[in-house]
This record gives sequence, structure tokens and C-alpha cells, in this order.
Amino acid sequence: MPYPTRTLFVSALALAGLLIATRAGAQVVSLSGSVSPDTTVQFGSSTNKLLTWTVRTNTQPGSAVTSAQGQFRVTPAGAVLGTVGVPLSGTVNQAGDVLLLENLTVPSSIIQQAQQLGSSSFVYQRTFTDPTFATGTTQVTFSIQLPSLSVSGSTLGPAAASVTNIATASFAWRVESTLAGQAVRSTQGAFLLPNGQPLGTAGALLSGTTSPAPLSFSETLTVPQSIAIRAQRAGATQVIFRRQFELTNLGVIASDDIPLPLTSGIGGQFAIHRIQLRFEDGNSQRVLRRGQPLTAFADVRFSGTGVLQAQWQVALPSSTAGEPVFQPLLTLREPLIGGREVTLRLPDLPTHAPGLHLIRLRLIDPDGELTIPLLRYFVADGDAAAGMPRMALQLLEPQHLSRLSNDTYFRWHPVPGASVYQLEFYLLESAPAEPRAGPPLLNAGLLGSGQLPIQRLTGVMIPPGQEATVLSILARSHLRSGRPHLWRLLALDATGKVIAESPLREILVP
Amino acid sequence: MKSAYFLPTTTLIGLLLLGPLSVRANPDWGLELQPPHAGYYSPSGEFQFEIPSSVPAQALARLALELDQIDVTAFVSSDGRNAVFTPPHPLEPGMHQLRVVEYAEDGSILERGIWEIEVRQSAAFREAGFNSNLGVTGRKPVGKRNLPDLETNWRLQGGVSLGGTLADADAQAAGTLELMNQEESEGGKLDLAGFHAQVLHAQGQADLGHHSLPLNNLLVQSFGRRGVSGAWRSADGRQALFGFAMRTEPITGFHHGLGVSDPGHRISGAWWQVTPLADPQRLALRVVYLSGEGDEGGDATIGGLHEASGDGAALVADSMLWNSRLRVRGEYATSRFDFDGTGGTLEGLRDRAFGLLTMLTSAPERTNGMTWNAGVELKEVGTYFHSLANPNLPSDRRLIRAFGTARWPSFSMSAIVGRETTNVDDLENIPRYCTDQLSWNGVYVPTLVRETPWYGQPQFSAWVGTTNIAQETNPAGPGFPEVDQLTRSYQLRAGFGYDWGGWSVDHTLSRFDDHSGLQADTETNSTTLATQIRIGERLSLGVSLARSAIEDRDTAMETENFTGTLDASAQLLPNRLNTYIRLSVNEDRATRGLQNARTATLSADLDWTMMQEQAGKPGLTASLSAVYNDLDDKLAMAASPSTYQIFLGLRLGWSVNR
Repeated sequence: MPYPTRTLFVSALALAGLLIATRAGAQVVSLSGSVSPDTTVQFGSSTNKLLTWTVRTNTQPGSAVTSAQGQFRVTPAGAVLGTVGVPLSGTVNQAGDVLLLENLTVPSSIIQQAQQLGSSSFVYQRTFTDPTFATGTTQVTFSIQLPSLSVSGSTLGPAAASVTNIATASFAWRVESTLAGQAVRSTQGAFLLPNGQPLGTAGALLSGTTSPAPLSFSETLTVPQSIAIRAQRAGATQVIFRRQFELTNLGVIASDDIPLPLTSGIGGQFAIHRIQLRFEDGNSQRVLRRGQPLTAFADVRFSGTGVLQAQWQVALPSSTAGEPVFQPLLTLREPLIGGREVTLRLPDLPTHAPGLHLIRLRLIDPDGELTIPLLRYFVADGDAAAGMPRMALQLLEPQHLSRLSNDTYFRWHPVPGASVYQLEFYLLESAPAEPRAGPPLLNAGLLGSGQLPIQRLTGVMIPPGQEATVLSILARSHLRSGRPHLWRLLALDATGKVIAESPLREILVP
Repeated sequence: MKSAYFLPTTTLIGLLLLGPLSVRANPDWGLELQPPHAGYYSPSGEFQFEIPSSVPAQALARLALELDQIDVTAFVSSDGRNAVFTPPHPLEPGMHQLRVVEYAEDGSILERGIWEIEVRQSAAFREAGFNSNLGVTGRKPVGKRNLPDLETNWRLQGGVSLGGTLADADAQAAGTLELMNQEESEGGKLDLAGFHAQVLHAQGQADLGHHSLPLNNLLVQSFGRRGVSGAWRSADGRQALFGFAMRTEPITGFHHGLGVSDPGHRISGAWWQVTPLADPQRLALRVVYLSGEGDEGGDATIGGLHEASGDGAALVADSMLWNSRLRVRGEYATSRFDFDGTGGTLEGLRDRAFGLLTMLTSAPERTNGMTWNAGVELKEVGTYFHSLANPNLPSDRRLIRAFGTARWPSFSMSAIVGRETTNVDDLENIPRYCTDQLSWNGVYVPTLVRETPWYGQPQFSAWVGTTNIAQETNPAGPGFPEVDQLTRSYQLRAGFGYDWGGWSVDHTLSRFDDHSGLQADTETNSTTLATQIRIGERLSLGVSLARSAIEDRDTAMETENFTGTLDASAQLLPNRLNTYIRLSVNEDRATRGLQNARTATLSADLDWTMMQEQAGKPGLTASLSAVYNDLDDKLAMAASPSTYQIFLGLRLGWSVNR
């Protein structure tokens, strides 16, 4: 190109550039955008929207208006969340307007980003340019619609809050969300008065992930007595247990209340609240001689009504030096009625083998969450014969519940090795029986154990070789007319040790 | 034995007169108890009586002797001027009573001498005894299967109990101490299982360690813990003052000392009792006060332990009237209790409880072969009445019940009918329940003629009980179903005794109906067959078979348990070779295949006594023991392998009794 021509060309370009630069600073007359069918987008899913952009310019009809790309922003001047690279262009009509349609897909990631920035809405923005390089920017605003969450709670079986003891309640929770795959959780529940005043908290973390099917949770927890008392003192008839569930990081929460009526121990769920294993002296450990009688007790506090299923078990010395192996001693199927405390008794614990024994009460139903400490006893060595059950002394007459008369003979089978027989009489103190006392326990092992309200009144010592006697006047004088008495016969050796004993029998003294 | 001037028991039939027997003191003559040669009566010593020469021979033939109200006439010999009582076995050291009587011709009893004697072990002390019982076992596994964690080293287990008594005329001290090796749980240290020391004086008493308070009332019931207590009694025995401080919770081990150092876990109290009338049976009054803090609950408590505190007072009056035929007992108690402990938001709640018991027994002269007693009990415990020393007392209960027992030869029965209601404080916002109870039991023991028949000595018993719970008020509203439950139980038992043991069978049926529909209706059946057999002096067998089943009648679902056990103890070689075997089988099944598991366990011990323990000398025993365990759970994902463990052991036993 010759120099003058080149100079003219450059000058023209410069002029054009100047013109463009001048027009580029100009604005189109007006811009607007609309969205069909609405401006809401669902969190968690991509959404298709039909956008209509209207651009009014001063350019000639037939000229083109273009937009290179669209941008998602938190606010019109805020951070860019993403871009859509699809260009738009349209032709100016006779009125100077351009109508552009855009089929926009709003990615779920954009919605999530906006929500994570704490915003409940975001904008989609486009900049349009006409042939005169006039520009204008407009946007549409999208509202983020978060997923719904609903919770419904119910009790599993009867449930109540007791003012007289701890209560147990089981709850089922059903959680539904419109959005699957979201983490949902409830850190703990709360006890409230019906007016919303808090009483306390309870329960552990419940968590899961939403799915098209409802989520189910269940829990069993204790209702402290103090909670029920505070509700009663506040005049309420019930305690509310509330669980609030949350879609993690979305701030979407929902809760439900389960009312628990106040009661005083009888109503509500059948549950074991406390078990204390002990020996007769209240201790949980004993050291004893071989053959020494031993009884275990379990004090059980419960609420409601039901059948206790449990099993007394023992680990014998043959396993306690290694891995304890528990064997059944007694299986219990005990109806427990009306929320109170009962004492279960396990007589005749094995004491014939020397060594460490462990006793436990295994709860089968209700199983609960109790960890019951073991009873332990150590049988020291000694006379092997002591490990054998004491020999039974067989009575011949009089029979149980006989009436004492002039010719009442006490007869028995002789016991080898006996140096003396001792006929003993006890006064059976009258006392109101327990409702479930059952048949009388005529067990000689109960003598001296405090299990029977009795005291020894009198007796007769009889030389060996004699197998029958009548009651002497002297011994008879100590008996109480009209009162029930128990009697038994012992065989003792020369050291005074009991080598055989009869069962207890009752005799009527006129 | 010398010629017996004391009347042999078997010749007294003709003198036996039923009905009230009078005892008269006759000052015209009496026997003299001779002082002991050694200066004191020893446990194995004889007792010599000097008979005055003026005593007619006929009277000598009607004399009888009793020791502590036990007729010991058969062990008295006499030469006419002296009588000697030779106890058939050593007497316990301590105070005893000897009494000589003469049977008068009119049927009365004439007292010819009575002596309070002290049997002493030595001149220095009435009683000075020490006993210890030591057992130490070392075991080493020599065989195992499927027990990878079972250590193969020697393991020591042991326990020792120590006891001592020191007593003289007006004072006595006794103590026991039990120590146990705790290897499997606490690193093998020797720890304290329990201890108790008691000092008695003529008018005082002190206890330290594990012991129970001698009180049974609304505030204190069967309360045994580690602690200290003391008592003082007036010289005439009509007044007594007690004081105590005890640990609130059961404890073991050396820690906590006497158990009373921590005021946050201590119950302290006192009571005063007095018998204001000359006859102490006519009226006994007792005033009790206690205060404490501690963990409300026990070893295993749902929701963990929680601190609580409170105090209480009670007044108890007990009276036996009308020749001891009528008993009347009244009691009133108050308590103040912080249910959420010190610092909680609940203030101490006050409430009260009271009880009234009356019981009448049949007149002795109108028995006609039948005796009876009957009574009525009223007891009310306030909604917020609570005592740390009687944590088992159900609160919020008003009970009224009648009870009675009747006895005939061979047959006895008793019955109870009662009603219990709740919400005794008439609180408007808690419901009221009404529980009706009825129970009856009877025992029949057929009278046998002389010899025991082939089926042994039978004993039959039956028990019936019903409990109905109904809800009377429902302040929470109709949205909450009202409780309406009925429980009926029936039990039959038959037992047959022989001189070699016996066997028994029993069956219990219990039906639970929940008319509110909140709980399942159930039926429980339990049957047990048990026998105990002793064969000679060297073999003992025990067999027990038990089946129990619970049926959910709403769903027809049934769970069933079967337990069978066999226990055998045998002296294969007397004092040399012993064996103990226990075989047990436990099966749990449920309908629809929801449960099906069987556990079989066999444990066996074989002991070889290398050195017999005797007379304070230690004994040494070698043992071979084994346990085999097999679990067959048909629903388990993985099969549970059977296990066994075999141990060789050495055992030292040492008992000292001096």
C-alpha cells in the first residue's frame, strides 16, 4: 500500500474507532426480562425456564441486537456464580424493539452455591449490544425454593410420665422430605410443658439420609421423675416430648410433639428401671464355707404391667478362671403388676464346689438398657462332705398340720452317727401375707434366715437309739395355746454339728 | 448312765395334760447347783446338783431338767443324793439357763431351782474365739478350643473370711472380715468384700461395717449398708436410744472406709423407743428421725443415678392386747424430699404416710381343731412421700385390705382381698387408678398311717390370684386410652418326700387381658419338674426340667423356653477323690421361626485331695476342671463354634477355728 493511501486508511479506522468508542458508551433505551412460568427454582434439581428478553433501541429496524452470554450472580452486582455461553441475537422491529426468547437450564449447582452463600435468591443476567454498540444489562431474579420436611411422631405402646418413679417411653418418628439424598438429623429431644416452657432434654442423635420413602426412627428413653413432678406442680396434665429434625446445612427444620400424660406409676409402658442384686446381708460379695447355704435377691423396680422374662445364671469355678460360661439356674416368667418394686429370690445357690462363682440375672423381656452388676462369691475349701446336701431326716409322724394331743407321738427314722436328736418347736408369728405369697414355704433353710417370722420356744433332747417320743409336760408348757407352731427334728453328732434335719412341719396347739 | 431318778420323757404320757399349765414356785425344798471344779463352767463340763436329803423318793421320780427351755431330762443321771447333767455335745459359751421342775400330781409344775449360768472357754474370757477360712486356687489352662483370648498363664483366685469373738460377763466384741481376690475384673488385687464389727455392753451396743438397721417401718425397711450405729438401753429395758450413719448406696471394697465420710452419700438418723406400761407387749412407742443424701437408685438404674436428698420422721405404736390375741399397730410418718437433688429446681416436697394394722387370732379355748387369724390393714403413702432408707416403698398408694388364715389338721388356707387406689393427694392433674386384688392359697398334706407309702409323703398346694386395674379419672383427656387390665394367675403344686430326697411338679398359668387395647393380651404357662436324690453318703443328684411359654393372644405369637439341668456331686473315694458335674440345656424358640437357639453346657470338676484339711492344718487339692459350651442358633448369620476350656489347678484350703 502507497504511503498516502495507507495514511488515509489508518485515519478512517481511527475515526471509525472513535465513533465506535463513542457509541459504546451509549445505552439502549430500555431492557427487560421475564420468566415463564415463574421465577422459583427447586433446590436440589436443575430447572428449565423460558426467559423472554425485550430490548428497545434507537437503531434502525432490521438491525440486530446481540448478547454473547448470560451470567448467574448472587445479586446484580454480586459474585458470579456461573455463565451460560449460549449467545442470543434478534432483529429490531418497526417499533424499535427486539424480542428474544431463551430456553434456560438453571443448574442445581448454581442453586446450591447461592443457598450456601446464605441467599434465598439469585439473578440471571445478560448484556445486550445493538449495532451502534449501545449496551444494556438486565436480569431476572430467581427465588430458591427449599425442599420441604415433615415429621410425625407417635408412641410405641403406652407411654406416660410418672410423678412417682422413672418412666420409660418408646417413640417412633417418621421423617419425609421432598428432596432425596439429603442428610437429616435430630440432635436430641426436649421435654416441654404444653405452653412451651422447657423442662429438660433427652434422647440421642438420630440421623439418616432422605430418600423417596419416608425415614423411620425409633427410640426408647427414660422420662425422669423430676420432669413429671415439675409438670404436675405447674398444673399440667401432660408433658410434651418434642423432636426437631433438620436437613443438614439447609436450615430446613421440622418438628413434632408427642404428649405424655402424667401418671403415678401404674399407667405407661412396662419397663424395668432398677435392679439391685444382693445377698441377704445387702452385700454383693461373699466368702463362705463349702456347703454353707446362700440365697440371692434381686430388687426390681418397674413401671406398668407385664410379664418379666429373665433367667438367673451361674458361672461355676470351672470357668471363672478363664472365660466365664454362664449356665441357667432358674428361668423366670413373673407377672409384674401395677408399677412398684418386687424382690425376686433365688435360694440354694450352688456352694458345693470350691472357687469363685458369678451370679447374674439376664433380662430377656423387657430387655431395656440395664447393665446389671454380677454377684460374686468365693467358696473356700473345707470338708468335702459339707458340699453334699445335708441329710434329710425322715419323719414318720405326726403329719403336717396335725393337732397336738395326749398321744401325739413324734417318730422318725434313725440316723447313723447321731449322738443326740433335738426336737424343736417354733412359734409362727402371725403376719399379714403378701398378695402373691403363694403356698407357705416350709423350708428348714428359712430358719434363722429372717424369711419367716418365727422364734424357737422349746424342744426336747433325745438320746440316740430312741426313735420316738411324746412331748414332755415341761416342753409342752412353753407352747402357746391356740397359736400355730412349726416343729422339726435335728440329728447332731458329738461335736454338736447338725448331720441331718427334717423338714419343717406345722402343728396346731389346742 | 446311773439309775435315772429323773423321770424319763417316755413315761410322762400319763402326766401330760393339755390346756393351760400352771407353774408354781415351791419354797419347801430345792436342788443346789454345785459350783464348777475349775471355777467356771466349761463347754464340755458336767453340771452337778445336790439333792436335799429331805426330798421324798417319789418326788425325785417326777423331776425334769431343761436347758434354755430345751428338755434335757434324758441326759440326767442320779444316785439319789446327786444328779448330774452331761450335755450330749459341747455348749456354746455364754449365758444359759438351767431349770429343774417337779411335775405335781395335780398336773402343775413346781419349780425346784433355776440358775443363770455362764459357760466360759477360759477363766480370763467367757469366750475368746477366732476363726478363719482361707481358700486360694491357682488354675492354668491346659486345653482350649475357639477361645483365642484365653490366657495360658496361671491365674490366682482366692478368698478369706476372718472372724473373732471376745466376750466376758458384761461385754462382748465380735467381728468378721471377708476379702476376695478380684482378678478377672480389677487386676488381681485383694479387695474387701465386707466387714462387720460389733461391741456389746450391758446397756450399750456399737456396730461398724456392713449391717442392717433393726427397723421396719415406713421410713426404714430392710436397710443394710456399710456404716456405724450405736444403741443405749436403760437398765430396766424400757427405753432405748439408737443412732446411725450409713452409706446411702451399697458399696464394697476398701475405699470409702466406714462409708460415712461423704455427707453427699450418707444417711444419718436416730430413734427412741419406750414401753411406757408395765407389760411391754401392751404398748411400745418408737420415734424415728433420719436425714440423708445420695444416689437414688441402685447398681443398675435406667438413666443412671441421680442425686437426691431428704429427711423424715415417724411415730410408731405397737400393742398386743386381749391375751395377745389382738394386735394393733399404728404408724405415721412425714418426709421432705428433693427429687432432683441439692441445687435442683424442685424445692423439697413434703408429704406424709400412715398405716394401721389390726389382727385378731382365734381364742385358745375355742379351737375345735381349727385355728384362725384375721385382720385389716390400712396404709396410705402420699404422692411425694419418699425415704432414702426405704426406696422400695411405692408412693401414691392407698391400700385397704382384709386377710385371714384358717388351719385344720392336714389343711390350711389363707385369703387376701384388697383395694388400692392412687392419687391419694387428690391432685387434679394426675389420674386415679383403682387396683382390686384377690388371692387365695391352700395347702393339703394327707395324714398318713405310720409308714411312708411308696409315693412318699405328699403335699399339695394351690394358689389363685387376680388383680384388676381400672382407671377412674383421666385428666389428660379422652385422647389417652384409659388403663383397664386384668391379670389372673393359678398355680398347682404337688411334692412327694422320701428319706432319700423327693420330687415335685408344679404348673403356673397366668393370663393378662388389656381391655384398653394398648398392650397385648398374653397367656403364660410354666411347668417345672424337679427331683433331689441322695444315694448313700457319697452321691447326690439333682434334676430339674422346666418349660415356660408366653403366648401373645393378639398375634398368636408364642415364645418358649426349656431348661434342663443335672447336678451331681460324688465322693468317688471318701476324703480323697470328689467330682462335681453340672449339665444344662437351655432352648429358646418362637413361632414363625423368629427364634430358635439351644445352648448346652457341661462343666465338670475332679478334685484329688493330696492333703486333707483338718484341725487347723491346711489342705491341698489338685483339680482338673473343664467346661464345654455349645451354642446352636439357627437364625445366626454365622455359626457359633463350640468352645471348651480345661484347667489344671492347685487349691489351698485352711480353716482355723480356735
